[in-house]
Amino acid sequence: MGIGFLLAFWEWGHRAYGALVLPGRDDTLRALVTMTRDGRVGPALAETAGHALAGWLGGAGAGVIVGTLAGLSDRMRAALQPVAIIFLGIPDIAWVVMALLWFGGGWAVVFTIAVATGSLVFAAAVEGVRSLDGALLRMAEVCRVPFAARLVHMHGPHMASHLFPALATTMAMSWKVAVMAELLAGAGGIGDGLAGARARIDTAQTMAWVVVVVCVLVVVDLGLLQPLQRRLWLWRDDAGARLS
Amino acid sequence: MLPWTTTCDNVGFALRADGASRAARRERARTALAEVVLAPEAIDKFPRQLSGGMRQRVALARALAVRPDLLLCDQPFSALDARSRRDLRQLLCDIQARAGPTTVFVTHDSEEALSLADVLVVMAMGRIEQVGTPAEILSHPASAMVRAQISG
Repeated sequence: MGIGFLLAFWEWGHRAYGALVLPGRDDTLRALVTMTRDGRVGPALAETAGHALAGWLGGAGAGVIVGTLAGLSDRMRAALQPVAIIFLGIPDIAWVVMALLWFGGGWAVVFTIAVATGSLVFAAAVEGVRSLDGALLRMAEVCRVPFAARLVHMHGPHMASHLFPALATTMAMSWKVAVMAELLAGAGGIGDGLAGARARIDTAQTMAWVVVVVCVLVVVDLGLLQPLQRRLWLWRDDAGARLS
Repeated sequence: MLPWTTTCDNVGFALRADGASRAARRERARTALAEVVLAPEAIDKFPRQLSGGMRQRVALARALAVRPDLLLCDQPFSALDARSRRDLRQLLCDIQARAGPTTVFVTHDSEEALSLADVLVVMAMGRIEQVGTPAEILSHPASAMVRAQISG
């Protein structure tokens, strides 16, 4: 129903303001088909996916490792938390500008995504380590459960419940930051396609690129994140547990 | 209890120190869960699907599964309703009767203390006021404080 309302709103905007301001759905679809036939969508999609994935893996990996260490050590947390807060406060666009000067091209995009996602994952990892129930830790100690088993069966699942929302959010965010950074850096990908469409004032193509990004996010959410979440969250969900 | 793990694996988690296989751990866990008379259908449920009384049975099974020499129960039944408390108290007595481990049971409930203990230690303000069998303490309370404590 929400999507239907959005499409209706789109159509109303198109009729009220004209095709130059907001192209119609049919124009957008035609532009998307043309771009796909011309072989522009596939390579751009692959390039943006590469940037987003590399940046997300780098940022999330660093965030998990450093956040875990900060969660375990009060001293490390005291040193790193203010840095993470500063990083969270810096707008992504500022990182793009600086990364362009430092690295240029595709690496500027990857770096921007890594910095934007890393600080969020760091905060979730710190919380994940620190919020583990002390009674569980004492139980594992009393029963002399080996460290590896504690890590896999106690810390791991508990961390996952804190990390998963942050990882899912940053994964979606990495796509949006990738497109923005590519647009500013001219580093190829969907962002470059958007920049070209903007330069030609081709709003139908601009909307078509937006549709591509939205479709990717929907596919990732429905095809990957939601099934994974259902599987991980079985212990929280009575209905899911009954079905198993 | 580990909320992301089933009842059986929760008990099995405590047995990981032994280095036994998963099958062996599950077998021992099932035995321990049978000992605390947990309904068989609850064995593969997650903790949040169990009642408070069932969770306490699982916790007791986990503690017993490692075959401890000493069992410390710190007000284990305090958050339960009267019926569950009574059932679990009886269960603990039965386990004790089957040559269970020496158990130190901490409670503020004088009725619970008198019905469970072989030897009762009455404490007040962090000090031991009297040590004896329930019968001795009931018949000869050492002080007004002890009398007040055991009368509830």
